[in-house]
Amino acid sequence: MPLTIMIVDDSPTMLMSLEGMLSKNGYGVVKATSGEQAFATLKGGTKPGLLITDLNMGAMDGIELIRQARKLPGFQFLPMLMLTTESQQAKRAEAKAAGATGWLVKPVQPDALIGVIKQVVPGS
Amino acid sequence: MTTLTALLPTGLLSWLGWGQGPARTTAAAPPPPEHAVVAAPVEDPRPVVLAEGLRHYEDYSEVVRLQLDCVTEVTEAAALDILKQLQGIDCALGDLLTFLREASSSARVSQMMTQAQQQIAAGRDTLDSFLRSRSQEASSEEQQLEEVAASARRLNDFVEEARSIARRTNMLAINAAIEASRAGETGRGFAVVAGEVKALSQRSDELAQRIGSGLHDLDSIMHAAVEAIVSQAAARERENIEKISAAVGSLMDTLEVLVAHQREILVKAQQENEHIAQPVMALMGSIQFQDITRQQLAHVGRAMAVMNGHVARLRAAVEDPSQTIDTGSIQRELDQIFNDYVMARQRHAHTEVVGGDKEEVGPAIELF
Repeated sequence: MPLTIMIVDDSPTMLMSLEGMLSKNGYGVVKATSGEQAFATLKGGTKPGLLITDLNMGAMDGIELIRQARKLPGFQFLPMLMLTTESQQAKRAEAKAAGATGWLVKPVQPDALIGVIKQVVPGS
Repeated sequence: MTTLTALLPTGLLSWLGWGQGPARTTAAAPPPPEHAVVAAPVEDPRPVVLAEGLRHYEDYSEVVRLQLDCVTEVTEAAALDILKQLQGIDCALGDLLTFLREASSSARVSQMMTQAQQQIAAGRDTLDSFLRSRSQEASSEEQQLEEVAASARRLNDFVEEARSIARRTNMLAINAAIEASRAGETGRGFAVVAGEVKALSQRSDELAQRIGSGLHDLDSIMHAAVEAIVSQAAARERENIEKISAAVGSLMDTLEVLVAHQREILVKAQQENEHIAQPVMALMGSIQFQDITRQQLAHVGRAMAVMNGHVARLRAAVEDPSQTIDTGSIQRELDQIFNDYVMARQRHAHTEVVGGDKEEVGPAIELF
């Protein structure tokens, strides 16, 4: 059973780039274009094996999405990664406090991304 | 109230024709000579020109903002198109790789070899069947010749019988001659007959011997013929079989070389295909630059809007001197622009111009 990864970004380019890289490596992909849409999908019962979210996405940003998702039943230990242009230490600390598993700065190359996924989801 | 020129950036003043020196408008006119008649004071035209210039700036900044939106739209459409093309290439490469893997797999090659061996084995069976058939035919020919030889041997028995009769007739003639001698004058004629009978029996024996000799020769010739037919045919067939066997062996060798060569080509093609697939994947990652550019342009657009608002307030103050100007607003707006940046590179560019501490950039990948 391939690992399903939810990718959340308001950029169609990012979603398509990530989907291409992930599906090529055998992962299933669920997409969302905003924090709100992603949260609604998770709340609706979708249970990915990994969440990768952008930071800046309008009303509900990536950190808030992670903070809210952590409160959902069954999501306490789900790996959640931030993928953003931002590299500020303060923002990283905020994301970590919200429950993020890691921080990746855009652009991320396929090898690096797959390497991180294998680290946070062993055996995937 | 702060003067307007103190609030505007030097570049903007220059663009408006309001440098730190004398303005290019009527303000640059030489002072009237002392003896001239002093005319009624002329209203200073600079506020009007300044307000007009600021209005143009607002229009211009709106044009720039729209141009930025246009750039974002165009690059996003291009990036998505490139990604679709890359996915198409990747898909085609994937199909080709799958085909090459299947074609060059050991199972596939083994299957080809097995098929070839089965076909060759079938050919050998056909050859064996042919040989068995030929062997049966040769046996039949040998048997027929043997039957002829047996017939000849049976004739030889008849010859022996004829010779036996001749010998007994000869003995009979001898006995008749003895009895004729005992009979004296009366047996003389009988003695002549006995002599003729003896001569005939001897002649019969001679002929029987010749026939026997001829039959013996015929038997030898037949044996030689049978031997020759069987051994020569076997030698010829053995020679032909060896030729066929050599041809089949050569065919197998050629087939193995061909299969090995084909496998080599397929493996090479597979490797090259994988080499092509890697940069395709890397390009899928690199195309993320469009999102980074989009965010940068969006921020420039927001900064333009902030500056536009500031310029609008300046213009309002120019048009209505009774309005006060908040001198701290531009700093707050610049601070807001700084806080809205979404990447370290933007903040670096900002601090290089307006000053401030350089931000320390964290690692590109960090697991908490």
